[in-house]
Amino acid sequence: MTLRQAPWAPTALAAVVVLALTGCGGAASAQPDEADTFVFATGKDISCLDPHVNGDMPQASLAANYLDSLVSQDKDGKIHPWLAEAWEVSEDGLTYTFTVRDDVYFTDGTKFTAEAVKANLDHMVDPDTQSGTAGGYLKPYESTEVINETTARVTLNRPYAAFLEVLAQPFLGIESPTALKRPQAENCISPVGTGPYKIVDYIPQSKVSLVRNEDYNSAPPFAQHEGPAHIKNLEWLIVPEDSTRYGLLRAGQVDALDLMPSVHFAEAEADKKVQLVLQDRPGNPTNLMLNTTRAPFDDIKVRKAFLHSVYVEAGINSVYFGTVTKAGGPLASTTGFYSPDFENAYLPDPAEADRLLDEAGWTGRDEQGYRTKDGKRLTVVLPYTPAAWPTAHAALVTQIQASAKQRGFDVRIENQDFASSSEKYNNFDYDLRAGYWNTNTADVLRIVFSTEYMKSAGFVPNGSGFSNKEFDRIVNEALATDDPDIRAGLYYRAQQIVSENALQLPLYNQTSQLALRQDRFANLTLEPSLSLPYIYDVTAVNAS
Amino acid sequence: MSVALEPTTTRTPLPGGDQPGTQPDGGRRRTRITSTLRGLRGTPIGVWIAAAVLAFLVLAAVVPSLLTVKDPYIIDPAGAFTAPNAEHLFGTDQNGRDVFSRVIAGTGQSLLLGLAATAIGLVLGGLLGITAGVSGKWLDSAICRFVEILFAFPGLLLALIVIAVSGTGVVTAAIAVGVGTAPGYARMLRTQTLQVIAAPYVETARSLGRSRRHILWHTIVPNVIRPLFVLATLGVGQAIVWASSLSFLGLGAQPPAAEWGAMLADGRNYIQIAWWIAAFPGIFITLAALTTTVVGRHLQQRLEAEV
Repeated sequence: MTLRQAPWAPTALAAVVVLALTGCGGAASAQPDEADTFVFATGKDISCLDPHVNGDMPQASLAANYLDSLVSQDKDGKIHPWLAEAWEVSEDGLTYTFTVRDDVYFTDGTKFTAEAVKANLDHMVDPDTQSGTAGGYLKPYESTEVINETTARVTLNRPYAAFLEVLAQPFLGIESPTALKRPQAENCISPVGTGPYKIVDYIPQSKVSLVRNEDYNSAPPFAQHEGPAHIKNLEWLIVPEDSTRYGLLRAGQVDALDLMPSVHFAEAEADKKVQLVLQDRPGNPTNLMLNTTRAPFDDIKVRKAFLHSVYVEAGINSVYFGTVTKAGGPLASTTGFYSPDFENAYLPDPAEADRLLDEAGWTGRDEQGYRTKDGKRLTVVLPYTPAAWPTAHAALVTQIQASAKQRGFDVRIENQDFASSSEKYNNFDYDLRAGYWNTNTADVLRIVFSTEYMKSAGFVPNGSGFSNKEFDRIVNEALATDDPDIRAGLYYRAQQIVSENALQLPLYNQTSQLALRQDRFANLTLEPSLSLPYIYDVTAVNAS
Repeated sequence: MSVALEPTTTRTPLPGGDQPGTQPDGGRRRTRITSTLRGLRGTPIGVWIAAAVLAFLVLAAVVPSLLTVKDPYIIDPAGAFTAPNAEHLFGTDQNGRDVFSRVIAGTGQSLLLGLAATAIGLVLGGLLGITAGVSGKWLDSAICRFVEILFAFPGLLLALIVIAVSGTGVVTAAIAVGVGTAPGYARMLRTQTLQVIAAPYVETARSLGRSRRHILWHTIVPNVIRPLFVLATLGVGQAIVWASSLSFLGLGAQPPAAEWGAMLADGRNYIQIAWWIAAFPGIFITLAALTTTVVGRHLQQRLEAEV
């Protein structure tokens, strides 16, 4: 009888809970002393290693280190050759003819050919792949014709000016066609590329072990050297606990980490052993999407009132300690065609929020102070997965909840696991949804707000359920021209429409925040298309 | 049953003693009062301290307004991470909320969760255990096998399964913890039932020609249920810790609820710059578990000594 033999068991359990918070849960199994092993700790779990499936940032981060792409992008956004040596675009913008390299092999021995290009693009658009990201980008994709071993002709169903930009993203990295033929579950744990590292082992929710590709000969133009990577082994640990991850770096059990916890920034900056690598990412900033397909956010007055109700900046300053940049419009300031005109469209304005809510008929108050209309409380539900977000994000969301309450909104934060919230997200079963979309073009507006992205085989990008004919026309027109002036005009109008319709509560720019033990390693750079950690150029620092 | 369980009470019926159903009420009450007085005199100081702390927690749960006037939900981003001082006894959290008033506000929820979960566990476990104890071989062994299957899962895992099926929230957390603890209670109560059935006073009732139903409800059930009170006191401590664990994992109380486990989870990432956010809820979880266990253990010993 457990209770009799160990009357202190509950107390001991309580002590364990208390101890767990001091961060003594070290999970690292690597040997940090070896200069030929680089241990990287990432903060977010990876559901499937293959970045074609679903398409979440942790997949792309890892993919950037074992997959090459057809083309590459430099820091200024210019497109350069990579696995494709050259390409030609037809007059009408519908046909892209790629000439690919003849001397590259996948790490499973398969030769990289035009056939592989076809197999990969077909895999991304296959509904069975459930590719929200890569598949989402390739909605204009029609088919690929293999002309010969080194020539692939890709046909699109409409002009797509951002096609090469998205091809440069690790989400659309090229995998071995032999490996892709295996069942998806198998490819998810051992995808194969032509990249500088290859995956040798994967322990879900714990770590991915990679080893250098000794025959690597396809470094992209943004890399600083050619041939094999400098460091032999790459250990990719998954450490979701913010303080534990940082503690491991401090203790020297990991050499670098991402999702640097904002609470430790000041300490890390003062630490001579630690170097911070920071870069804001382009795309749609971190935000809360307002679901316009159901009450109460189907009413634009209620949406605008909500945006005027909350205090985002105060929250960012208190819980993020100023480590992120406040966003106000639909585009992050690092995105092409970004306009600053919408940054201050919805500043906190209690009087205006009250006026709008009164106008919208939410005039009653219940005993708890929430607004009501026809006896129904002004409730908005936010399904939330704390593990998917930094600690500070959860605190910020709680602050938004509290400030919205002042105006009479009952914001229900419902914590749940990733699978439950994903299901709700894909079925518009929410009023608020936390999101962001990292991409390297202003075409993100089309993906996050246009009608065709209300449906998807995987993740649904258009979480506000916004459907507007004028907007759809504008963002598609912007893809049909290369004229930067025309595109600037169109994207300005697109940002304006989004802002006017109060579809999102913008929070802050997505940002890459890495920390590196510079006493041991140097040259941790960011892959330019999405600013992801790039280990290929990392070198060991001689301890002597 | 494979594991021989030590009985909660080794019950040798006193001749003409205080067995319910065999003696008028008056005699029983007198015995109890004298034994209570006898017990209080020999109570160790540790138990008195535990009882005092427990009384404080109950006070905080019942009338939190007596202890704090601050609203536990008011945010103040500018005043976040304030160290404990005269105004904020336990400091403020990452949202500038007063940690002391949140801990006090959380007492009610935590204790209630512990009580409700224990009650659910006892009712479920009691139904299974007593049914198994009084029924024939076939049903008894069916229930035993079922309970053994449940035992294959650690209690907290069983609770997580319930949460996975029925969703998160305070009510589900209470049910989940209750279900998680039920197999343990079922086993104890089955053994207890078997002992009571074998007791001579049941034999006496039978030979007096009482009906089976009468024996079950007037002789067996009361004697099985009596030690439950002690079991429950012991169980509440465990249930509080489990319920806090569920909230710690984000599966119990939902934000912005001031629940100890949730506060602990909130504060753990700030431990290096603001230890008080996590430390105080942690101390209170420990106190609640510790005091209920000490008091419960004492009651248990008393009950055994009494018989």
